[in-house]
Amino acid sequence: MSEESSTTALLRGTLEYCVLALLAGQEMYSTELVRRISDELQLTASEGAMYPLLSRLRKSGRIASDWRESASGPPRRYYRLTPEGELALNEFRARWSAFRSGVDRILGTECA
Amino acid sequence: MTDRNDSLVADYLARVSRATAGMSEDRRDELVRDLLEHIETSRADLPAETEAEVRGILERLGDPAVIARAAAEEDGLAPREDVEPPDARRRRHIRLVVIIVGIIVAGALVVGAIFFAQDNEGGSGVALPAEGISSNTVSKQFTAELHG
Repeated sequence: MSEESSTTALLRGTLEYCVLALLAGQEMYSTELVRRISDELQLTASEGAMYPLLSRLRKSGRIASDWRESASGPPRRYYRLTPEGELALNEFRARWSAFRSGVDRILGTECA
Repeated sequence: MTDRNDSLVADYLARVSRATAGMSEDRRDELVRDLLEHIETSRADLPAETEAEVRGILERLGDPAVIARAAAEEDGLAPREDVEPPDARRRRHIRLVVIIVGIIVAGALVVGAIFFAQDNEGGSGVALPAEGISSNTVSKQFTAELHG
């Protein structure tokens, strides 16, 4: 497995919850959200690949958006977490903690 | 300068369109609109736009082929998992059995060849097919067990 595809595999199940978690704290416009995630997860050469994910989250009702005028440039699409998204995020947080401890034990990457 | 940058952006979006030619028109339009908004917002945030900066924005967005792959994956993610026909599941099961049987047969052949080499130094390859047949029988039994 190449480095790119193994990263993709890791992201597949987790990226959407990173989006939900960032929006749990505050509303963000799309470019800001995508930048923030790509900086935090060091995905700087694939920001565009996050837009299909945002589209799916919009359609599934986990995030909602509205357009707002901006002082510079075109109107911006602001995203926020919906109650449904918050529920999904909290469920994932619980599952993730258990899963992560298990993987860490197996890999020997526990921080003592 | 701005014309030049505009045409860089237009070229990039045209490449995305081509890479996502297999998607429905709605989905593709939506993706291109999202990317255009990202690009225009990023450009508006630049204090003074240069060609290098516009190229940088497009580079960070990434290879259109990678974006197309992500879009195709998302399309697959939403409904397909629950709606997978039982037929497809069965085909996958059969493929798995074929792969396992293949590995067993190959393993048996290798083991057989090693035994053969040890037992009949300098002999011909005649024993190999015989080993092959016996491992075949084993794999048939295995397949039968798998199918219950």
